[in-house]
Order: sequence, then C-alpha cells, then structure tokens
Amino acid sequence: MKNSSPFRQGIVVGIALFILTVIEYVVALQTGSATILLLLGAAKGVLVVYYFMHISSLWREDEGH
Amino acid sequence: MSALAADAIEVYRTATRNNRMGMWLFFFSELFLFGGLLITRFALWVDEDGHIIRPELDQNVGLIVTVVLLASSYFMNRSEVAIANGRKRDFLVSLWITGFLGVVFLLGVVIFEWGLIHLPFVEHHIGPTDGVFGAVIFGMTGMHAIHVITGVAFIVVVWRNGKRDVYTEERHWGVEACAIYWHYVDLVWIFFYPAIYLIGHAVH
Repeated sequence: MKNSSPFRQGIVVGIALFILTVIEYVVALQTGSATILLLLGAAKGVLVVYYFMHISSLWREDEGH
Repeated sequence: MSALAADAIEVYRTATRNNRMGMWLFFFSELFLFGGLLITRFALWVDEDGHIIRPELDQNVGLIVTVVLLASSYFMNRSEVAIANGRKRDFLVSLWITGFLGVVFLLGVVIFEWGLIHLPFVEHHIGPTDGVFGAVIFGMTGMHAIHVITGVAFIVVVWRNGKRDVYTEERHWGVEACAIYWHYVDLVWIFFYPAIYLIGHAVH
C-alpha cells in the first residue's frame, strides 16, 4: 500500500457517520428534539463535505488529479 | 520530465480545477431544489397548534436504507482513494459495491416505503395521494431517487472506463466527479432522513 492514511481516514469517517446516525435514531425515540436532530445532521454533513467531498481542494493550488 | 509533459500536466490540473468548480456550482444550484423541498416539509407538516408532525413510518426501513447509503459513501471514498494510490482492483471492487448499495437503497425506498412493487410480506406504507404526507414524501424521496439513479448510471460508466484503464493515479477526474456527486446524493439524504422519519410527533 502506497499510502494507508487516506484509507484509515475513510474508515474513521464512515464509523463516525454510522455512530451519529444511531445517536439520531436514539434521540428521535427518546426526545424527538428537532434542534438536536438537525445539529446531528449538520455534523454528519460537515464530515461528508470535508472528508469525502474534499471541499478544501477548491482553494488548494496543488489539487489537480 | 520534458517541458511538453510538464505543460500537459499543468493543462490537466487547470482543467480539473475548473471542472471541480463547475461541479460545486452545480451542487450549489441544486441546494435550492432540495432546500425548497425541506422547507415545504417543515411548512406543511404542522398541526393546528403549530407543532411539527410527521407521518407514522416504519423506523426500521428509514434506519436501514440510511445506513446502506452511508456505507455506499464509505465504499465510494475507498474507491477514489484506491485509484489515487494505484490499486486498480480495490478501486473497481469498491466502486461495484457502491453501485450495488445504491441499488439496494433505491429498492428499499421503492419497495418498502413507496410500496410500488407489491410483495406479500411488505405492507404499503404511504402513497402519493395520501394527503400532504404522501405528496411531500413522494416529492422529496422521488427527487432524491432520480439523483440516486443518475449516480448509479454514473458509477456504471466510471466502472467501465476503469476496466479499460482510462484512469491513472495522476489522472482520474472522472472518478473524483463521480465520487463527489455520489457523496452529494448522500449529503441530501443526511438531511432528508431526520426530516421525514425522525423530527416531529408521529401522526397516525
């Protein structure tokens, strides 16, 4: 493997997304708080946009593969 | 590296940066579509006292299809990382799994939530003519499903190109475009899932 770090990062983000989804489900069953659920959704969204969609590559000059 | 090769790489990088900006502008324009659907949900699904409500849906279906779509996003990321590291087999296998999970998600919504395909062990949960609940759910999930279908088609094209060695470690914009499109589809569902299944009091 040339660079295992991105693979590990993907696994960590995937697990974090799964845990946040389970927390969402539990929160919905317990309290149903719209604020908490939207915040959890936003946290998942940030993970996806930053780590999976690489939004930071938009303003990095060396990103061109 | 010759000056000609260096020039070619720089041209490719510039084109990729422009392509990437174009994709994000497309996502930005789509935000108005999906954002409008979310606003519609919160504007219409309220009771007489102004409390947020939602239809009684099968929570297991919602959770399972959501986890399936998140898993597909993980494999799509793995596929992109694999091609960037020269691991063609890993790239193709991960891409195939992503497409498969996308189809599973789609069938989960169509069979279990929409009830369009009648199976003896599946109860029809809600239809498009079931008042404001049905109309909004079909509007949201239908528009999302169209994007999933497009994403799966995109994956098939990239997979075929990958089999033909179109992509390399240095040049794989097609894979990246497919990946960020698929993650965008996942991102939309991240907000649709709580909006449809979790937020508000369930109304029978």
